[in-house]
Amino acid sequence: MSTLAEPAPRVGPLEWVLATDHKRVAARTFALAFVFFIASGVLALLMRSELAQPGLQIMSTDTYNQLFTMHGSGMVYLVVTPLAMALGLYFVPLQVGAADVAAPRLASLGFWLYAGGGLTMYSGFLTAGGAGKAGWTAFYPLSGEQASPGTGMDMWIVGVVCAVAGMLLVAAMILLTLIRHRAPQMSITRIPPFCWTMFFTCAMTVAAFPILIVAMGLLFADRHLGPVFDTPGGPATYQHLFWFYGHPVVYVMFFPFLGVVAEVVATFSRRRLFGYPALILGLFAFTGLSMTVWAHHMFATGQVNNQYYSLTSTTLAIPAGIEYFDVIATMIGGVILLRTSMLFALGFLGLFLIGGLTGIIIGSPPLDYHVHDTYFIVAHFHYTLFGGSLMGGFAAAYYWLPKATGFLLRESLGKLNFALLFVGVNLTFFPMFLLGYDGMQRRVADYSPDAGLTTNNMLATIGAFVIALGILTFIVNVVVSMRRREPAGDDPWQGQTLEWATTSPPPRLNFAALPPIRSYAPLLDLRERRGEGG
Amino acid sequence: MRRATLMLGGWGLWVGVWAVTLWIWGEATVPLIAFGSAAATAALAAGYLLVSAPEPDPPRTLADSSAAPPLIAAGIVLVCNGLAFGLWLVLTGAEVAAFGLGLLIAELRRERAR
Repeated sequence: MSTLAEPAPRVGPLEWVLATDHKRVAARTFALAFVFFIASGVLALLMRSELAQPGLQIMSTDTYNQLFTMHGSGMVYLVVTPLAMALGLYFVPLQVGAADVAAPRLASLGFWLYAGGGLTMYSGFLTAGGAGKAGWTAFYPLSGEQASPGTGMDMWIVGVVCAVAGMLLVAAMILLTLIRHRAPQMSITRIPPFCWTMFFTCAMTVAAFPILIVAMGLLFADRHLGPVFDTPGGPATYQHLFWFYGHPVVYVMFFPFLGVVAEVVATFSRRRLFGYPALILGLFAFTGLSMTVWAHHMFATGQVNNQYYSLTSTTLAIPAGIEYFDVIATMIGGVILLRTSMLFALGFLGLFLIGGLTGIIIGSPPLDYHVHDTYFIVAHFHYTLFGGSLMGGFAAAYYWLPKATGFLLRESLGKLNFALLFVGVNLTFFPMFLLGYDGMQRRVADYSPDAGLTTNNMLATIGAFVIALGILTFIVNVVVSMRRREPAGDDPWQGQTLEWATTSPPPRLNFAALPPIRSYAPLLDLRERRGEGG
Repeated sequence: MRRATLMLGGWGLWVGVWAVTLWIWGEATVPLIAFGSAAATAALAAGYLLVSAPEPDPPRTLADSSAAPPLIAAGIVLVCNGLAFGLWLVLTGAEVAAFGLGLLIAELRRERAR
């Protein structure tokens, strides 16, 4: 029989809500992002139920428009980006030996703005005309006053501004922590891979997110004060502004999870990460390039320089290849332990690869013309965002929750969680490649029974419910593990980085004392010096 | 600090090089402005790091909790919603935000006096 982990000291709800400790702000962000994840997931299940068969079964086209808008924007603005930032907010100070994040009150303000923004976006459902219905991109003129009248769309715009501004604040604080609050021996070239991914993520956020706030402000002004985008070239200008945010945000939702996967793979291969400098240089090139590719989303408009954006988009394969090579080479010759977080890390590598490779296809204008605005695109970005980022998110949950809570999650339930999600993701999103290639448009509530699309749509719907079962397994795992409280100890995985040198959960100011820091993996250095190997 | 400056400066330069490539290729103004702004932001951040004090920060006073951030955020969200719902909500939000700011100033003064 296992012993029980010491429960953390009880904290009152008010103390929890007002706390400025980076760990509690991050925990609040995790919790809220998970609530929005469930809400946006339920919307996806409703949409998949509608699409299981031709004809309108359970909702009108107008309701369907609201659902796909709130699903997409919920997942991007309220779930994956905040999850990525919450990971950084919790673990960056721990990994660089800081007592807290830079300007904790501002980080807390960021969380509250995000919470208010999310609530505002979802409150649109309570208005007479319903929630926003112009898609997560809110392309103009569809998002204009004429095509999308009503308060719901206004609330969507306002909510997006607040949520994005909140995450911008959090990112700025993480970046400042990395630059100014590292432990004395922790030079910038010794920060762990996850911190590097957060460094570039936050740099991109600071450069790209303000542009979306400007775009949303102009859209709001267009709806209420007079034409801003209702000019020749106006809609294309809106798209430029939107995608200048919209493409980098894909990497904001990817890099942190790549960092998690790099650390998980190194830890569970019992090896130092292969090619640490190459990984950083790869990230550097990746980040710069990722800000140059946005208009590949606009190939079909005929108003951008397709050759240039095709070149930059295809070039992205080089740094992506470096990252993949580093992570895979880390496993070669290692003692690979297939714990749940390692399985999710491997799942991330496999599924993101499919998303990445299909990205090369749509980075080519002639091929993009064929599949533009079809389910092929939906499949592509779900392989990157769900197959990639959320697999990485679950790898992080199984790897770091024991550090944050002090107790271990059940491995058996974790492996079931992984199996269900892996099968569900492929069953849901692979048929969408075929649907898109066969010409099924995205953002439609219905399709012809004679179009030969029914079987693949049914498969995708079954897959969506398998994913839901996988998520339910995770929730059950957390609840069961919380009740059984199997103690994690300070370092349950023989981790390599500083967060494993403190207690689980860490104290208010994170560390009583720090070990010597001579590389990005101080704990691995200590073990090697003691002759314990990797 | 120097290495962080190099990273940010190099990143700005990298984005800048791609912006110039785009300009040579003859792209429209909006993407060039967006691009150039990103490069300039990175360069400005690098410049700030270069001129800011290289010595470590003084010991920080870290508050365990603060009621100011949720109040200020609530105020800002209400003001933003007021743009859709009317002046009354803008004014209510502004009051809440002002109250939050006042609380923040009081908290900071109390901390500094300690």
